[in-house]
Amino acid sequence: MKCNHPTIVLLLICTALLTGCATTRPNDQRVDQSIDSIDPNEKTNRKFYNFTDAVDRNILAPVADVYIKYVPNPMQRSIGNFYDNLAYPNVILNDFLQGKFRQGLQDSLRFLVNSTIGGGGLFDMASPMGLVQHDEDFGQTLGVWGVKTGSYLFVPLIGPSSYRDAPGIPVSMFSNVLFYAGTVTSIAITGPVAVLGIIDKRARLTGPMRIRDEAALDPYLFVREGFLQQRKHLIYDGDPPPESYDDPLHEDVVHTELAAKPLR
Amino acid sequence: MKLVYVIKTILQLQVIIFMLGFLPVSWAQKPDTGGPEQIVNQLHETLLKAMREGKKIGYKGRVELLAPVVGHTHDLDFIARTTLGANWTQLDAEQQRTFTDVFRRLSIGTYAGWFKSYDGERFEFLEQQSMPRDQILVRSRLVPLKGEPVRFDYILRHGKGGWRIVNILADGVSDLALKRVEYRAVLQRDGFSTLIDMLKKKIVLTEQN
Repeated sequence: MKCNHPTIVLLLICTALLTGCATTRPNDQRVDQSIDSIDPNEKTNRKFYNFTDAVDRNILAPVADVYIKYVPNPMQRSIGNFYDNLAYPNVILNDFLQGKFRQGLQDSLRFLVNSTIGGGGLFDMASPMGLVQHDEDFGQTLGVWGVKTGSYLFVPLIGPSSYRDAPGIPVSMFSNVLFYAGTVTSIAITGPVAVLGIIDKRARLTGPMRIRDEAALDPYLFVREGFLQQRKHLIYDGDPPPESYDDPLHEDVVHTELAAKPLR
Repeated sequence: MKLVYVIKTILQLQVIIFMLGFLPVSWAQKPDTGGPEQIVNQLHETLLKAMREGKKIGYKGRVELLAPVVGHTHDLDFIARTTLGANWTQLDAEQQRTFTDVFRRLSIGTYAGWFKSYDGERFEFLEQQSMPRDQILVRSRLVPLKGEPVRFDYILRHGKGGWRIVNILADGVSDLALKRVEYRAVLQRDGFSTLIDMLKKKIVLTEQN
């Protein structure tokens, strides 16, 4: 939702920093840093995670709690619909990039219906017509194209990502209607709209955050593993072939030969 | 004569098709209470019962209701062992027993903590598929009255007691894989007693949920 240039510059700096970390650390140190090789930048990622978590607990979460408590549910749903609709060109773009032409046309129609008779996106009139919501983004497109996940990345203030998913962040910004609204209207209008968008996004994350707080022994690892697995699930549109399921049972056979470190 | 022959052939074919059509039905009618789908169904029915009676029987009541069914439908010993992977063999027998016991209580507590109230939800069976290494994948979803369904996929393997759940994936996120990464990290970083303490605290949290 933050459509300003400093964010993009910050992102580029982060990517450069993390890439630097990845290339300067000798491989043999990785064994001490993490159990598996998906997260060679764990030390930096953990710092970004802790920073984001502090900002979240002190600022965003309390605001989102007030929003959930006082804004009526139907209104919350409409606000959510509105922001989903603003961001929907990203879904359409990635439908076509993934070669899902039929879905692309349906999603274009969905965007058209909701933007017009749906009151600018406030009401989801398209779903009852059979034009259901899809979840596509550029990271998924790269996955469909065969690009590997690459290393895990925690982007400060934005959240879990990976080398494959990070390019999707600017793509989703540039394909968001709000980004272009910012160029034609004043910040006095787009500013509050963008802020409400952030609150809406955070409010919708309250459920998963609660699960994390209740279940996680190491919240950083919990978020990382949950994110990486869910991304995979999305790339297969929720129906991964049985062979693609990670098989921890089988991994045991493979990894038993790698002796575990002595326990304390 | 030729016409009679053709009619006869068609009739024979129809009989064969008719019988073939009945075959899967007669297979399905075999009383099979221990198949992968039935095991998942048993769990789902008990979870729904826990939700419907949740408020009346309370957390303790839900634990008592769920404990035998979770024990029967899951291979908890196997899941506990697999969660620790290679580290399992480094624990002594007493530690292994402690871990398995705490893990069992946490698994049951987690179900009792989450499935506690009913609002018209229902479980829907989607499909059953074979997986590598003789495992079976049962896909299902929990459909709420309002809002998006949540996918629950179960991986089952055939052990001594029949088919048992060895992994659960909620919207594609594997419970076993998640715990595996976390538990191992804590075990190697902070040691066994810290891991057990943390798990015990999580059991308490499931009650407060």
